[in-house]
Amino acid sequence: MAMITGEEKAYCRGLTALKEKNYAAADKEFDVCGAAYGKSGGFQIMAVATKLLARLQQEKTMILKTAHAIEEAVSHGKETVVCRQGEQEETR
Amino acid sequence: MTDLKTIERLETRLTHLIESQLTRKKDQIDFLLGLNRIDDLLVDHERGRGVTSDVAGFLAEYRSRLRSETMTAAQRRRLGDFLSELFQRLRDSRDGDSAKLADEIKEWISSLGEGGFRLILKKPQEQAPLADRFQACLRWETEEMVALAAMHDHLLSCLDDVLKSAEVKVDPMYRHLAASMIYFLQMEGYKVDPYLKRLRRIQTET
Repeated sequence: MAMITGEEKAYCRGLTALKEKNYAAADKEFDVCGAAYGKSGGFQIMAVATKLLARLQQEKTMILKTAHAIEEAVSHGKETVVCRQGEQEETR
Repeated sequence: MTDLKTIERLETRLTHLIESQLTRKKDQIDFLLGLNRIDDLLVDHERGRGVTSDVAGFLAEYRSRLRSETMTAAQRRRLGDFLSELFQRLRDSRDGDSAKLADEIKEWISSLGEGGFRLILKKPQEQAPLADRFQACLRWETEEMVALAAMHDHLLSCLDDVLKSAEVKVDPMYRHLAASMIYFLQMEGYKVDPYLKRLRRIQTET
């Protein structure tokens, strides 16, 4: 029998992910334990900052990918309209 | 690239904010992560996995981190309960390595101070008058509440914590404290039925 609850375990996993700077994983764990810890001001700040960081890193990756795709298109001598992930890339 | 620079600036600031929070709450976080490790070890042991080397790793990592002086009385008690459980499992294993680790854990529990070790048999004591015992109980509960309030922002979270302790501990004081909190919350107009059910279940199980 476990001596601590699932929410406490999720919180611990979240903190470990945070220490390893894995913000996306930490964000998922904080979502799981949010109901149990959500009223704590300290937790709320940490959870919101983590969520925002996870999104920012996602956005940053997308911007860098787009920039890389443009560079590749230019070096191949083609005019390419580079779209965001999920949309179709159009080459003329 | 302007977007990228803005994102990177924001990222740096948020990372700094999180790191400062992790540093500020280091002792509390180490305590929680330590309990979580012991809990994992207990679950693994229950599933029949060999945990000796993991326990050795845990002791090497956490023994110096979770020192008595960095913990509250409530934290020392909770850690003592977890370590006592681990001690019993290792003691029952009967192999040489486990026995050595059990001794080390026993030493650690003793270093946590009064009330840390749950396995020592106490000689019978003369019962103090009922009113004195009740006052002692209230003093203990006040001390427990101070520690809980430092960890949680809302009384309901404190109650949840106390009920968890009542589930795993034999000490009837946790049940008394939980009942007192439930009654207070009810007087304040909170819906307490789920908590009352949990307390009743604990009462019948222990």
